[in-house]
Amino acid sequence: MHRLESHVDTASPTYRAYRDHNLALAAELRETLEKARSDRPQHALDRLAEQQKLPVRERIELLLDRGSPFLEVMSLAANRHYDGEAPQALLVTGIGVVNGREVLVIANDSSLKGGAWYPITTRKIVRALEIALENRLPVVHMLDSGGANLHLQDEIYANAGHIFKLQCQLSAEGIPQLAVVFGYCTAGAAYTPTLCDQTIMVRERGCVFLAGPPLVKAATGEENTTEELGGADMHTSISGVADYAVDTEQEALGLARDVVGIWARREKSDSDRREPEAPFHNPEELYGIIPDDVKKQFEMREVIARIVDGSMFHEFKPHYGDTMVTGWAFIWGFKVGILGNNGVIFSEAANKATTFMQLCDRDGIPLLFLHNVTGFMVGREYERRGITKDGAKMLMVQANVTVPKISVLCHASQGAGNYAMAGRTWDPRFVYAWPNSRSSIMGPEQAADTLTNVRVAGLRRRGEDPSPDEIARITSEVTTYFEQTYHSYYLTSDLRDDGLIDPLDTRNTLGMSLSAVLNAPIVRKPGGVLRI
Amino acid sequence: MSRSFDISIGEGDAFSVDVARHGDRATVTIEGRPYHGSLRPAGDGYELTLEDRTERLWLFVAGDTVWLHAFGQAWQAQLVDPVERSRATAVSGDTATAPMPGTVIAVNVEAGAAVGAGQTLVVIESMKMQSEIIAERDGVVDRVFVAIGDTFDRGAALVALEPLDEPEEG
Repeated sequence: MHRLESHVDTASPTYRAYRDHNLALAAELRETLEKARSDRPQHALDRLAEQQKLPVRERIELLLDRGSPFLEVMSLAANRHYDGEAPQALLVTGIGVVNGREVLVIANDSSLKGGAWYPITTRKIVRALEIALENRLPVVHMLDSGGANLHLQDEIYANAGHIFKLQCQLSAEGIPQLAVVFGYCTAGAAYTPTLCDQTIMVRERGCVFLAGPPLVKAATGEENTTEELGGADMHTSISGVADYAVDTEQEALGLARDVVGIWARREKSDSDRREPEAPFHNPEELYGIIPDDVKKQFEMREVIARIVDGSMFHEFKPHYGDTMVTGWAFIWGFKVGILGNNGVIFSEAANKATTFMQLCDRDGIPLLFLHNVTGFMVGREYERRGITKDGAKMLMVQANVTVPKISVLCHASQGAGNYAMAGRTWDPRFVYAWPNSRSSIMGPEQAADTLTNVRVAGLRRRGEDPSPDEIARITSEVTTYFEQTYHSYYLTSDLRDDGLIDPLDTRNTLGMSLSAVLNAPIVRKPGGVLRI
Repeated sequence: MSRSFDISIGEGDAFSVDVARHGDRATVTIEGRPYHGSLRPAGDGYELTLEDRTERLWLFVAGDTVWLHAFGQAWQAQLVDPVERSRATAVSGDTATAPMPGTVIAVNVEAGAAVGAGQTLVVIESMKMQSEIIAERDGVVDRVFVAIGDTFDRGAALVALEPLDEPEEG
């Protein structure tokens, strides 16, 4: 490995313009996150205090080892949905350390709407449990939700069953689950604590039942108090649905730490490790490297040099298929195989990527995809040379490698380029996005051109002649739609990634993610390495 | 077994170094001149024997940089990355050509203009992506073949620099 050289001119006007632009995006991200996490009206906080409940972040703080990092995922879920009334989809998910063990935390936020489930809440729980299953992470469920928002039941019900099925699969894989019941777990939600291996309930406030007192009265005429029907003492001494009853949330969280401490400690998968080393080139300079427009190109090696240990990189096929940078490096001491785009994918670039992935699969090295891709090259020359065939090979190998994959959307991630680079639908273990990134089926301008032509041709066939104003209106309608739906905030709101990250946090986020993925064994079943 | 390296000391030019090991001794050939010697661990450093002279030596390695203390002096030596070197010495013609088909969206130079290596000549857009076509060396623009809005095929000439004259004998 050699130290990457940097050719960035930090005194240039372009660098300074990019830097201003990206610093503003980073500040906007920080503010948005801060607001989603803790901007709650006073009456909501007062109500929690009245119920003797702690805010969800305080609960998590009490659970985790003091001073340990918490990798929060999907933290801007629902930020562009439901008129913003469900910040973070009223759920906090992330990977933290409890008694020295990495665990996945899923915690309801009942400060608003009683912690009700929205459709995105359901999908967020499902995704969190998938992360736990793929990376063999024990789960701590922190339950406190009024249940499904019934006005949106169809979309919620469409996915909710996955939650309980995944809990059963986790158990079959030998992955422990603990539930701490701080509030209501009604109807379907009653199955979450019941499917856990161990369950702690807080007296007077935690309750688990298929139907609450009003519904039971309506159904059978029977009258009950909440405690009689599904309280902590009933479940821990009579029904056996739960295991421990405690008086306070603090007690519950202390006990939860004890329970996790009893679980078996797992060995991490064998992986080439070395002593971590900070990048030689200053990661702060990423702000001046990422362009201020998604259409503008940049050198991905400059990004790699600011993410990897010592800025050291061993490049594979450095003179071939130069729109794809491939090579090996270490991040926080974990060895990774990196694939980064330096523009559109040509046949040579696709073939190089394919061989590189096979090499990493052979050696059990996790893959990191750094996206800045607008797709595969189009045009007569490229079609005749079988660009689709080379793309198909890349997809085939990428989908079937047995090593973990992690994606970061650094800038553009469009069309089949996103697929080839292990975008969300190709199930990488984690996928993160920078706030400047954009992802869609094609660019807004191309879509606007195409759709405007189609609509205008349709009108003309019917004998209508659209005025220039009408044509401009059609174009602007399509452009607006594309610009809204390919925006990083919209995509993260709809869980198309595991979170927006400040480019400066990329290295730490990847370090924690690599540590998490190595909890699952890498089962190697590589075929031969093809020189294609 | 023999290995070749390019090593620079301080800010100076790189030397070509060839190391051939035989048993516990080695022949180090620097710019064509061979030196025979051996290097053995000794205490917290090494013992270097070169021809008939033996000296204590300390090494500290960080990335591609080696700090070396010996003969009462300290040096900072740099291992030159062969990939970077081959990139830097890649043949650059007088004419900047299009790496792929596309459209010209900015022309930053005109004939007669002096340009420096790395300076942007034209900006092209292809596949929703803008790329800068940069001067690969210092020179004077001979011809600009394209204007804003022009489309072009892969390999089309975009900007030509005046050929470099052989230095005249003074």
